[in-house]
Amino acid sequence: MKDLSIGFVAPDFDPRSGGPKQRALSAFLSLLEGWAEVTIYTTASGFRWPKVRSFPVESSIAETGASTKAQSSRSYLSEEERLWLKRSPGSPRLLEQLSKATHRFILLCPWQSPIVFEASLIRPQDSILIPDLRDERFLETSRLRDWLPQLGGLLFTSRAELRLAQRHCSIERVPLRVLGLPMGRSRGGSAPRPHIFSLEDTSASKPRDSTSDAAATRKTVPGEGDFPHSCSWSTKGSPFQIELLECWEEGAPALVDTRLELERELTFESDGGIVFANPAGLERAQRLIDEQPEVGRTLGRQGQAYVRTRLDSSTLRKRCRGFLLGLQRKKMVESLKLILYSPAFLKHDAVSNYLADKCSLLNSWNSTFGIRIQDHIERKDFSRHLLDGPEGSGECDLAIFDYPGYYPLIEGVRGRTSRLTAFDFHGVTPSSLWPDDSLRKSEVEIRLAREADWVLVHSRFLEQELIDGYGVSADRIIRFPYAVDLEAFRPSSRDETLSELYGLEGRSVLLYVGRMAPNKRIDVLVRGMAHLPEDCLLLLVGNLNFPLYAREAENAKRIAEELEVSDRVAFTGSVSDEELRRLYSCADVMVSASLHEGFGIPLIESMACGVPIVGSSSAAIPEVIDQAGRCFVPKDSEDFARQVGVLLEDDSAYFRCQQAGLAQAQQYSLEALHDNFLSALARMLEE
Amino acid sequence: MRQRIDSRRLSAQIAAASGKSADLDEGALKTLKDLGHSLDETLEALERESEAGLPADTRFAPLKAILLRVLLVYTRRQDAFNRLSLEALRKIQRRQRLLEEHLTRQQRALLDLKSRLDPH
Repeated sequence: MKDLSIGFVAPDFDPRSGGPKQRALSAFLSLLEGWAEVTIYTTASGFRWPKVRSFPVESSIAETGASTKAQSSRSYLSEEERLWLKRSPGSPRLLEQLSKATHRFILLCPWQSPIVFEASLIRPQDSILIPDLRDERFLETSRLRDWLPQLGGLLFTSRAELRLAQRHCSIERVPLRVLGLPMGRSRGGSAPRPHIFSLEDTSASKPRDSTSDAAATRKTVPGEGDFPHSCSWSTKGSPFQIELLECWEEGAPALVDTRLELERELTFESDGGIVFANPAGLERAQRLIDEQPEVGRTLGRQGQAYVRTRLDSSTLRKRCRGFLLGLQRKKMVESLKLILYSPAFLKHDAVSNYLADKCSLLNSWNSTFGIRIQDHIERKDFSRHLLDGPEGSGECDLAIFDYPGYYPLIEGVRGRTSRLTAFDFHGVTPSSLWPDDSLRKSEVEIRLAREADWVLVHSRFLEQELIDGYGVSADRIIRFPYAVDLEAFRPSSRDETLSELYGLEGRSVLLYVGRMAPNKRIDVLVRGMAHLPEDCLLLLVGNLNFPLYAREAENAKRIAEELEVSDRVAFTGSVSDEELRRLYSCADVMVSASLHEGFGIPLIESMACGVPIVGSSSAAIPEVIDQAGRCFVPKDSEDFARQVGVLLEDDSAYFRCQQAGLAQAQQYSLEALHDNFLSALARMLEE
Repeated sequence: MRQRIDSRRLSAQIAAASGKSADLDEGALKTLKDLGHSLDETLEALERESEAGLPADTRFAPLKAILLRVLLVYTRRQDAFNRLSLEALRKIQRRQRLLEEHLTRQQRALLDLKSRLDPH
């Protein structure tokens, strides 16, 4: 069944012409396939497609002079454009038909047309614009500053485009999402040549005579007037984005003029090419690729990987659908009243970070919410939502209780101060893996999950644990993963300062991130070092201040000395978030020997940074790693070393895991959490 | 090849070798953003402050260097930025001059104060 009815207004859409712009539009349209009922409104003529409503500009139908609802209320158009609208008979009819239709959303693209401005006035709150921003000059006009904030939503095709819009218009309150143009699978040629994307019309980058050996494909900016009408401003600037992506699809590196802002940013994001600033730079880049074909091949391969992992159509489709469904559910969450319970609100803590993520989502939806913390409040964000005083702060729709371990407030799951309760389960280390009895109660009280109306979990492993071990019924469990900020955690080259600090130059770096708790078995990692080549270094990142963790670290150091690998094992202590990101950039392989892991946030952080993982096959670890690395027999340090060895020696296996990780990381984005949390709320409240 | 090739770094190396920084403009705008200002906001704030007579604090001092870079870029990137009219550029330059004068005054006052407090 199709979820939504969508009117897609694209005045110059004509896929038969096959130009880059049309290809981009078709690509975007494919995101709506399979789940939305789409009707295309265009002024191109002669369509035979079933769901296209065509209103040809050149048709000879007499001017209707119909005044649409839109025209009567408000207009962003200049005199010239209004005149144009009147003279093109198709346009008023298109607008009239659109205003009569009952689409849930109206998608508008591209915005440079007077028709689009007028169409957006029919139902501004349900109008979603795909801005197709090319040039800062357009953004400068005052009508855009007025117009964009009035719309119901914005869909961008790249982060660079979003940044461009943010610089010029105040769109903080407009729901928006960055998607991308979905690309097909590689069409790879055997020896793809670099493609040059350059602005031709200035002397700065005039095409040089191709005496160079690299017979590169050169794309230049098409002239103005590729728009079917002549209004006061046309699409100056190029529809390069799709051509750049197509170049990467072939596995070719791109040489990009720095003035092509969006293309430049995409190149930096994908590491799929070189940006040049002048003819000398272009020449130098070409020479580099000629002389060192490996550089060109790697850049091309990185670009190709970017297209495959980041622009996978099924992921993008899901994100597009999530966004529109989210808009539809906006009303429901706006009137929501809820309380979040948690044992602590700490700075460097996975559960606290997740709590903060939930809070910022609720904030963005304008929901009314309070946070009740047992003790230890280190963070200042969301402090105005903190509740204190006696328990039970009036009636609310939903209370969500985090459960990383027992705390007295959790008993509220039984209480009836809210209409519904949810038990948000984060996993508890089994007391059998702990040296003392301190986790016993936490383990026993997981049974409180049975008291709640709903149970939230974040891995299949924990879901099974609740069903098998605690008798929670499966149909009350909602599962969705944690999130990681993909803007912050992304691939980058090795940080030089840290590389110098820890002596990483020329060495293979194995990185462990986490608490030094007994169940994490860092001793297995240290023992494994004895079976790995001399140039391997194990970097252990995590808090050492807690006595139990310090003891584990001391134990690991003692083992390292016994095995004579202590010069290859280093402890960093706890680090800031910023330093952690830089540490990931230094890592070759992420390692974890943990015996119990409810999820493992560092695993997804490392995937997002393009670092393959070697983890023990226990608890949720194999499920999270999936294709992004290799698993070893728990507690077996030799097998651990063997699996690390495979990744370090086999470049193609390494690359496969790296790319799979980057692709998997997409499902852990903050946007995915937005969609998942929202649909979880909808399910809890509606069922 | 285990480590990726970083496009940004490679481009910067090539640009440096061929005499122009590829992401100069990008860097400058990013710095502004990191400081929590947009270019427009910064210019507006400077405008306000210069109209009200320059303030006692030097809150915008670190922006001076950045503005210089932005200015450089804006004049250089004629293609994309010719939207900045000559008048706007003059305005920026005027603000720049005012700011510099202000800073010099501040520095002089500080030196003066120091010499009075510490006669040695």
